[in-house]
Amino acid sequence: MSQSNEAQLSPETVLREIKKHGVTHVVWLPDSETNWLYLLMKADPQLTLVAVSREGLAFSAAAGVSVGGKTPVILIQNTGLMESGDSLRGWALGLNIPVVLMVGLRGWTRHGVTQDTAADYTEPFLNAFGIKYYLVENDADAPRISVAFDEARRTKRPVAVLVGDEFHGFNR
Amino acid sequence: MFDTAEMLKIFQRHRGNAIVVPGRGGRHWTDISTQPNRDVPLGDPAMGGHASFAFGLALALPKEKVVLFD
Repeated sequence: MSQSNEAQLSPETVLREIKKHGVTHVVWLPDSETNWLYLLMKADPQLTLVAVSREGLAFSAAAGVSVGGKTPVILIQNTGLMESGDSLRGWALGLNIPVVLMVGLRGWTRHGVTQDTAADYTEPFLNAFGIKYYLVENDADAPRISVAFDEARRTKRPVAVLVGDEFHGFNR
Repeated sequence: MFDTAEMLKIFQRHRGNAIVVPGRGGRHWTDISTQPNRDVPLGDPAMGGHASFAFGLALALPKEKVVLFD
């Protein structure tokens, strides 16, 4: 089976999962990899898209949404996550913000051989901050997104979903 | 030199019912504000971000006026 025919994570599935948990605001940094998800979200009248100019601002913006009583989700790539360490520390962890981070796992392969160090450093980065994370590669893994939302709500902490299918289902 | 506390005292007279995010002026604002239940004095959580925090807060509460000092 070629890689393109393997099970994929569809944008429709992701949207269904996040809406199941009452997400009102999607705080994200626009990028081409998530284009199809963007088009779906943009067409959904129940969602407000909050674009930021750099990933660190996603954490403070999501904190504001949460303090205002609504439910944010953060949609960024692992590269931007790593650049956002101080904001993650101060705004999300420091203010006990229950937010799910949907993180595109650039460089990840399921074969354990990565050509891109962004993938190599992502899990150590999350572990350094004590952030729990769940890997999602295809539609069958989608319930893990719900696990992350439930855990974020219960622990009042950010929880990450690592999207390992970034270069397939999100970008047709 | 611009005095933060004096500026905030003047603002207090015009605040109305706004939600106030006082930024690093919070250490003065907590003694000046007459509506502490509508203040969000966060101190200095991280390097930057007060503006986007207030933006997110305003998006979540579209019927409220949110004033930020950054």
